[in-house]
Amino acid sequence: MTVNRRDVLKRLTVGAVAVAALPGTQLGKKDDTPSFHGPHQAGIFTPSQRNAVFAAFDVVGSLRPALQTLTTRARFLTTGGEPPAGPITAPPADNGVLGPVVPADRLTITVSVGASLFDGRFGLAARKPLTLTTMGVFPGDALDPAWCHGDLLLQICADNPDTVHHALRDIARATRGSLLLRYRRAGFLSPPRPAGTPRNLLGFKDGTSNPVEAEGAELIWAGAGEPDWAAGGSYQVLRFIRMHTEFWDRVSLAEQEAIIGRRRDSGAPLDGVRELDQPDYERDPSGVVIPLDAHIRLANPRTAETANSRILRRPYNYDDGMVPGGDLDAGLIFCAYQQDLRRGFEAVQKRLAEDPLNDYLRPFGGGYFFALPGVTSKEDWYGRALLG
Amino acid sequence: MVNFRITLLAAATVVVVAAAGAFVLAPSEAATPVPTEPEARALIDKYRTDAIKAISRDIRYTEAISTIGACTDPPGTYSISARYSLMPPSATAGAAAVDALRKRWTGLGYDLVTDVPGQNSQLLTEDPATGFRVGISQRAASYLRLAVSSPCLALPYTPTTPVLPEEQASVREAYQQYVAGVLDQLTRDVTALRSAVAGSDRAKARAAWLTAQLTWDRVGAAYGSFGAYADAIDGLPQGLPAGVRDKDFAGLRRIEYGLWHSEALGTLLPLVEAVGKQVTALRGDLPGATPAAVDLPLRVHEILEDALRFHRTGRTDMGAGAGLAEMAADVDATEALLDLFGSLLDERRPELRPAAHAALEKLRHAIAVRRDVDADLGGVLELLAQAPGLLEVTGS
Ligand code: HEM
Repeated sequence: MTVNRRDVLKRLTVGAVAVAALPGTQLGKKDDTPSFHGPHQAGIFTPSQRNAVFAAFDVVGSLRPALQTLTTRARFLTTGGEPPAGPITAPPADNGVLGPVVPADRLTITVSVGASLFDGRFGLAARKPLTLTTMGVFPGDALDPAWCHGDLLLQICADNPDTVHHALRDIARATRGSLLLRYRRAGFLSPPRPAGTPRNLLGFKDGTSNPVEAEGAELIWAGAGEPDWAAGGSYQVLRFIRMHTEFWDRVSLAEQEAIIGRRRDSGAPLDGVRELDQPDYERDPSGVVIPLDAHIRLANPRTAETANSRILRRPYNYDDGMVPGGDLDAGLIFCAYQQDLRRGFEAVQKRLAEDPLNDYLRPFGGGYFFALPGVTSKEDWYGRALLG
Repeated sequence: MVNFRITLLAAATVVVVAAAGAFVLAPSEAATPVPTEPEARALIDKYRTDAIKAISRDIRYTEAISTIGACTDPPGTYSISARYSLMPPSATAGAAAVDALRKRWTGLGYDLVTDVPGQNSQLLTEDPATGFRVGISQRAASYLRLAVSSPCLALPYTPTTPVLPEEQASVREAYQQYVAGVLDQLTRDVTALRSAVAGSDRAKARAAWLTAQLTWDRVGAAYGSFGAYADAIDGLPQGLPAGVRDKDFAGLRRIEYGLWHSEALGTLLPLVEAVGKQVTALRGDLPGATPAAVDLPLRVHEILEDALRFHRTGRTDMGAGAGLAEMAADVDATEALLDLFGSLLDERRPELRPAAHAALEKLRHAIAVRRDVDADLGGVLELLAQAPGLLEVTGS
């Protein structure tokens, strides 16, 4: 009977793949399942999946077994398959949210460590990545300590929200007693409207200009001077940014476009026509077409001196309840990867200090983290080189 | 409140209902599909970008103005156009650009409308596929003007007459006088606060603080207007590394914090004196420190946008719980500003100001009875957001 059931499942799976192979569907395409093993973690240059949760944990038990368990769970969850059946007398091993066979669903689980992990509790004080610090306060921030920092950060992304939820719940269960959830926030990536890069909740395409994977060695992956164990890792910045969407909607389109520096409809820079046109700031030294303080111009002035401050943004929208006063609580989960926190995020953020966009934003949380090197083999686990 | 909302003069879209500009000539009879306004704007970008690609990279933009001009035939239609001033490094470079564009546009099959060569050259072409006109003229050795205009379009709204720069300047002048009066009052309030803080009656000091704070709110200093002065007078602790304990946290909010957190009155004295100095300095510097005329229309809704973002969320509350009282002061400031623009608004949309005043009155009542404040505030803001677009100036 078991055999029969398996056969049915197999046939169902084959059927699903056949359906998924139809033009226009992304789901289940075998070749775009991000690989779990490799020198770098998946979820960094991986094309963004539709859903994500960012979950910070504090380590309250022993670190090593927690990271080993985390690895085992992540390896299974990102590969998918049938969860092992436990004894019928015990509660089921899997929470069942994804049905009897766990689909991979392009799931990635990216594990990062915060500065607090190196505070001495785990004997790691001497092994801290070079530029990893606790995130400070920037002008305009209204940080809520409940939404900041953490020993570990998990970025869990998949095409469907149930897959993301299933993974977080599975991991929290497997590490219960040693990892304590500190905060978590779910985000989504909109579908292309109507084409090109997905839009954020200000209505603008977000993610158009980003470094490409070939630039990883110069811009994204841990570089010279880092401890040996860190090779292949990357600094990650997380910022929870509330948007004053009501206020934004009361601003004229011309002003919105001047604030961002791009057209709202097409995503083109104001001096171009198509989304992927490159802005030409040399042609416009006094900012008459793209204002000098447009968000894209401050964020990336495209000069030789600022080229190495470019960062890889991997943002998600969030949309959750209300703020006092009755406005929508909606915004952006800003997530960015870079080789050096000072040279990357902080340099950009400093340039954005006078960004007119800030009036419509209120950062309320986040933190600095270091995404661990990839898990390279079946025997390897997250942080093996770090813990020695 | 250190941020600046941008000044749109350079990139502003202004409406010229009067005679259409040099390049907005009568449309061709070509039976081309008439685009919608967004399509027309996207096409303008396309013609501009295409032209710019055809000329030397050493030629730089110096000004950009977009206008809407009324067409006479058929009446009630409008042509959207954009002009870009460009600076070539030399007269020869400018002439070469004109030649390059003549080649480009004729090569694309555009019809020549005007082609005056030489010193004061003027070249105008029309794309028969769309009826759009694109032209370049060399006005001086180092001055080129690229212009793109749409055929006559029906718009889903009637464009309003732009405000003249001198009209805006006189509103600024009047606002400056209004602020001067409020600051004179503030000077007296701060003196009273000083003597209260020098005494030993905390309740009296708190009341004196509230009076001074509300007077300052009546200035309407939204959006980082009055820059460093405003930061010194009522800067907030958020964004400072050590928050309320930061050494740079000073001004009226810091005094409020001390008054409501059992700090000895005497320790607040230097803070009060510093505020007094800043008020005097700002009063003396008003002609320079008053926001630019082009920014003032935005303040019509921004003062209450600030109330929503700061007072309504409790972010400015350092213990006094005066958010609602402060919002009422913001209503005063908004009404004052609205009336400074009175005739300009009334000429353009007569129903707006009475509606705004009624809504502000309703909000004032809601504040007084502490009911429906959020709903009324939201309603007022949606109305006030109509104002800035009616008050833009021509860019010339
Ligand atoms: C809610 C907050 C934010 C919003 C709504 C926002 C929106 C946008 C938009 C619409 C673009 C243009 C499209 C693109 O190239 O992706 C953009 C670009 C960019 N943003 Fe932001 N952004 C936000 C926060 C930030 C922050 C906090 C940073 C970094 C400190 C940042 C850095 C950048 C960079 C580097 C670019 C690319 C510029 C270029 O290469 O041309 N943004 N942002």
